[in-house]
Amino acid sequence: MTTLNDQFQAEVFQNEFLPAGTGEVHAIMTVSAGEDVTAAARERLFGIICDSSGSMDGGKIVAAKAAISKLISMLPADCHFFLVTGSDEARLICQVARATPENKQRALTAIRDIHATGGTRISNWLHTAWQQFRSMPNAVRQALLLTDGQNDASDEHPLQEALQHCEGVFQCDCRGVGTDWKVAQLRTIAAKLLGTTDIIPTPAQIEADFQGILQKALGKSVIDVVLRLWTPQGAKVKFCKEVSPEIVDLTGRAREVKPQLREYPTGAWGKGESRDFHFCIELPPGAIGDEVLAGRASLVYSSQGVETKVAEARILAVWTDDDGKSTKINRMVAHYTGQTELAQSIQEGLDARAKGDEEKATALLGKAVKIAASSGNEATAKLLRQVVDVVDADKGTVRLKQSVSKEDSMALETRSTKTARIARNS
Amino acid sequence: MNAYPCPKGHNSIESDYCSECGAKIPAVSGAVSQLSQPDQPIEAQASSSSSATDLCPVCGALREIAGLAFCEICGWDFANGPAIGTAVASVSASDSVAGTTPAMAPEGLPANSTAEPNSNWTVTIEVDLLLRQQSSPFPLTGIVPLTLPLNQPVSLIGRRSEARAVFPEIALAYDDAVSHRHALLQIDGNGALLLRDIGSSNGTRLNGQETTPMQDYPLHDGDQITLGHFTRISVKAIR
Repeated sequence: MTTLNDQFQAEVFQNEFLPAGTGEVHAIMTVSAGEDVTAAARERLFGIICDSSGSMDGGKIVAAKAAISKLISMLPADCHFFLVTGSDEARLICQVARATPENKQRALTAIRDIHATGGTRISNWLHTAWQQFRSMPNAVRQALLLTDGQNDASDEHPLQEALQHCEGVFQCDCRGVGTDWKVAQLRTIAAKLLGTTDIIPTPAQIEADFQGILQKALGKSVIDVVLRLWTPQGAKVKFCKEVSPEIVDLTGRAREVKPQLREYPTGAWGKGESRDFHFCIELPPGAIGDEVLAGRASLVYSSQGVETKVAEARILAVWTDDDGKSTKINRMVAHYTGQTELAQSIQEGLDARAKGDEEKATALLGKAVKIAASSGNEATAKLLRQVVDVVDADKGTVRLKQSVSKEDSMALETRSTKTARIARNS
Repeated sequence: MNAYPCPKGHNSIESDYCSECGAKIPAVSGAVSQLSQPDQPIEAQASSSSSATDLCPVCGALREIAGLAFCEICGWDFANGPAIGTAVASVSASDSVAGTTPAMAPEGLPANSTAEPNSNWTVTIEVDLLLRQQSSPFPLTGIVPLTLPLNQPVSLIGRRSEARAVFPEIALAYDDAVSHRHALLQIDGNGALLLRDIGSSNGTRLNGQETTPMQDYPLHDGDQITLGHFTRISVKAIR
């Protein structure tokens, strides 16, 4: 373990011993931001992007307007905010302004005039938000996107382009109201913009959820943190995933700094925040007794164009002919491999159920129940029980429930990527 | 400078494992990590670990070949660059090094300011589709805005060309209406930033106004330079 700065700590968990002839190294890196991660007078910009398409009409838009009003009134005076509503086009209701009582009042007045009408073209909403966020590049930049429906099919390509554009400019948490939205669609947006996805089953719950998002955003103090991974000559990164608090595959997000060195965006970090990453690196096989560094992972953050390395950890590989050493699987690696399998089983299981393949769905969801039970992921186990009747959790024997509410099924799907942490010293 | 011989023959910039092949470097008598400390004032307080000492202080990239004068990634001048303090550079060290390049030393900065950049200017380069003419091609997707500190007295804006040996500091490969050698950003002795179009084919606009080639224009915080099909460069002054 290496600590380069008191603010962040990185630690690697792995079994460095490999049998001869192999080269696949797995390692979990845990990174924790210290309690005293500070940012002197860090500015914050909080953007609200709210669906105002026709489908929001009625209770949803009323609840959303009330929740947004509450949210704006709660903003601390030293932060900035803006509000965009979107249908086919985006409307900038309030442009970037400091959250002074006067500006808040002006926003609250403007919110009253929001009406729900038109279609859903999220690319336009993101583009408008992008213009606002661009004005404060050194602030903590967090958006909240609320929608209740699917994006217009013809907006698929523009949305991808808009996401490319927005990546790195701001982070965005996505919330779906009701059950008419697509989990995969919102997850794509949230993953690209380093945010979370969740379901708000009923409009009445919007307010509480918004408050949570705001509190989290206000807790961020270090922005634009990247994870750099150096690997030796001839090595290949098979994958790099964030595995806690949520599973996010970062493999495709790598930006090559130069050969052997690539970086992955991790966004903003708050005080005391902790995340775990899973690396899989393929090395050219070594000879018995060889010891090499398979990877050097570091966390780097930028402030006003100057980058600072805050934590570093080393991933090793040692070749041995002692099977007792090389066949052991590190507990952390095993745990998160299991959590990844859990999320995958749930997603594939729900997919099979939707397609009417009950046998496959039962097998996969049964496997999910088993992993959730054995890994202590009580939150996911509870969600699973809404969808299946558990006969024997340890064996993974389940029966599909005949009638499952759409909310429960979507809640399971959206939250399936949340992982449980392993107790360190158990 | 600090090269550690790797058992496979590489010159490693890291003391623990080879920075090329990852092989373990045999321990030299005593604490190897101490060796690299004295001549690295930039890292004065950043770390007690040797691994931090051969990173570029500007971009954080590993220093590929020990003794190389400039960072391969950002062009940082290892030998003569003013100390910018990765996190908290000691004041005395940064003063002595900064003194060698007065033109680039930040003026009026409090001595204890943390993470101070080595110049007062940064530029943000981005694709602005609103600049695009009807006849222009569409830019590649996935080009995200890039902010660069201006570390050098002179930064060339242009497009890289191996054949013509043009290696711009601000390389705009994706915009083919930018000339290979297009314009210069220069920091003068007073720390002011000047823009000069050096006879580009398609011209350079400053805040929407066409500039006259070979004439220097002083830049200010918030100035917008637009060129090529759709490239926008925003100037930012750091106080």
